[in-house]
Amino acid sequence: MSENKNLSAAPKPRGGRVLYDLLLVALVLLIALSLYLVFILAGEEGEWVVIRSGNEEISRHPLREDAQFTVGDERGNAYNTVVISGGEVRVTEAGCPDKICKNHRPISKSGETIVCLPNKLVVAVE
Amino acid sequence: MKKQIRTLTTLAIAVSVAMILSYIEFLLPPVFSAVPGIKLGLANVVVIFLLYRLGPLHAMGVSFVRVCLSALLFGTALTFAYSLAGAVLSFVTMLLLKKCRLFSTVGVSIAGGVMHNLGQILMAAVLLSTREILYYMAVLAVTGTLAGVFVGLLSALVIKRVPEIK
Repeated sequence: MSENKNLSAAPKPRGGRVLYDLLLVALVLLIALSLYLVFILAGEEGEWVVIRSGNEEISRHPLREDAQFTVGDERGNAYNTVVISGGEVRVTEAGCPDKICKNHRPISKSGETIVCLPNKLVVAVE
Repeated sequence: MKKQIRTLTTLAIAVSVAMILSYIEFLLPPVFSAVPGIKLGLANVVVIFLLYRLGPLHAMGVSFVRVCLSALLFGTALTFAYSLAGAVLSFVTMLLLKKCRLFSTVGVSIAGGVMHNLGQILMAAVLLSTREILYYMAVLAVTGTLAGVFVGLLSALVIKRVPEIK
């Protein structure tokens, strides 16, 4: 460890660098905020629940009518149970490993989606 | 010849460390699992370390091998596509930011983390033909920044502390 002098490649957190780092953070957060605002402002209550597998539309259901159905093969892992109730739609059961779709909050606004990447399933409100 | 063997060994160790870091991260409890893609990205410490200490080619090689191994061991063709898109976009961005010399490892790591998320989301948007998925980026940009700060500080420490590879 006495050869620390040779380790010139390690960047020192100098004042200028910290400033540029902060500018970068500000830029990223600004972009995130504008995306979020676009999402909020454009959010109207949807009418249809559209189920897609990859590029293919499988079915659509009215958001105002309560329903429950399972997409995919229930014996394997590639299935998701979708529940529509009270004008909201959510995924209640999923065979995928990460269960992100299951933990997603219920959606109701036009443009919102619940996506299950492992099963290539998209639940979208339109 | 001897130097080549040393480099090869170093890179092999780097790949294993990156794999182990990914695994440790997998064992951690999920902080907030409502949005896919939120993670710490500990393996990026290895890539950043190599980027600063051995050079871009070595860093890129290790990153690529790691993505392939992860897909083979834990993933599917689909997750491989997401990871690769994320890794490529992340690496190119980190390389450019490092080259322009304006940013510390924290800045480089933040850009790497956020771009990794963006790459995955873009790939998912293409594969699933769902533009709406881009909204996830609003959340991912914030969590990616937080993770990037942590990984960047850790990288600076590792770059400083690990003795020179001769």
